[in-house]
Amino acid sequence: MEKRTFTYIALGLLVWAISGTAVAGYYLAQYNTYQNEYENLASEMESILLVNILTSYDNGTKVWYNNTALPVGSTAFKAILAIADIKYTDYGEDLGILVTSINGVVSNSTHGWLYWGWDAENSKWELPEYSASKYILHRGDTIAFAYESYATWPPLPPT
Amino acid sequence: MRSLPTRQLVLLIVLSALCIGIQLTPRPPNVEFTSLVVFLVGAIFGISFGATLGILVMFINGFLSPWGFAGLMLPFQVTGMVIVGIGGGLYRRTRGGLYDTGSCIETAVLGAFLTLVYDIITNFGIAVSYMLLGIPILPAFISAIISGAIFSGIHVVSNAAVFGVAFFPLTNALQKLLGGEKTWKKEPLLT
Repeated sequence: MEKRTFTYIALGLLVWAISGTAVAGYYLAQYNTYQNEYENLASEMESILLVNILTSYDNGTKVWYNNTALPVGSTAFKAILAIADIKYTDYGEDLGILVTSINGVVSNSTHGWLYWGWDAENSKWELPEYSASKYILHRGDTIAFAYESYATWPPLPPT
Repeated sequence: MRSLPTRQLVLLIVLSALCIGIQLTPRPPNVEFTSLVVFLVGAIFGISFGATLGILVMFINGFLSPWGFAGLMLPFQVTGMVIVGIGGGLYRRTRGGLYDTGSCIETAVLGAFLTLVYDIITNFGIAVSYMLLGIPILPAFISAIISGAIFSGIHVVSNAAVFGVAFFPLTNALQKLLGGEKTWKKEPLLT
């Protein structure tokens, strides 16, 4: 091969090598950036749980808040606090918190706010016998806050 | 000291104005024709002419660029363009001032190479500005090279294409226009 041709081929390969290395470095840096972002997002996802929350009013209105993101360890009280404008009474460490109003609908002597947990295994609503502030939520849980009459006990579960 | 013939001086000024005009014209990022003109001038008139044009163009561009005053980058841009001009002059020596269609591939490779050298030098200028902020020079240089890799790639590929396609027709036209290389030697002009 003629020396001149060889020189130009070598020069071209040199340009290719340096440019290729720089572009590869650029994509490596991009890869690392997105990998870090993905890992940060994944670790954030590990520290949150998604739950479904139903609010059921006495006039028949039902509002679902599906896939509501909450921190791990959240309670049913934290869940309703996150999605609605509520009022509550705190009865201390042992008894916990009682929700007395959700979105302006206030408990009275005949009606009040009760919360239910969905038993996925048996496909039915269950009425916990303790405060919403003590009901620890798990990933994928479904809960309901229903405004119901005290006239019948146990009250009818939300439908 | 050898004085510059009037025609060469005028041509230098006109080409500088042309390069500045091209530099200031809206165009895709990192697609430019200044390198080609400087290389072309070096390839026709020699190293000193090409290098001088490189200095003039980048010096003026450093002040008039739409991106603003080049500042610290100015000496690096000037150095890079001087190397392009010198490259043109050296190419002239290897070809004896005669070019043909076969020189298209050679000039494409040279265009890519000189553009890459220019980009490395200007990236070094960016690294120096990082260094002034307290970053060690080697990581700053690598960071500048990597972050500018895509723009540099566009610059290299576009200049390879521009040099490969435009160099021969332009040298041919310019040499015809000027009446051949003899016109530019310090001899009386033919009348």
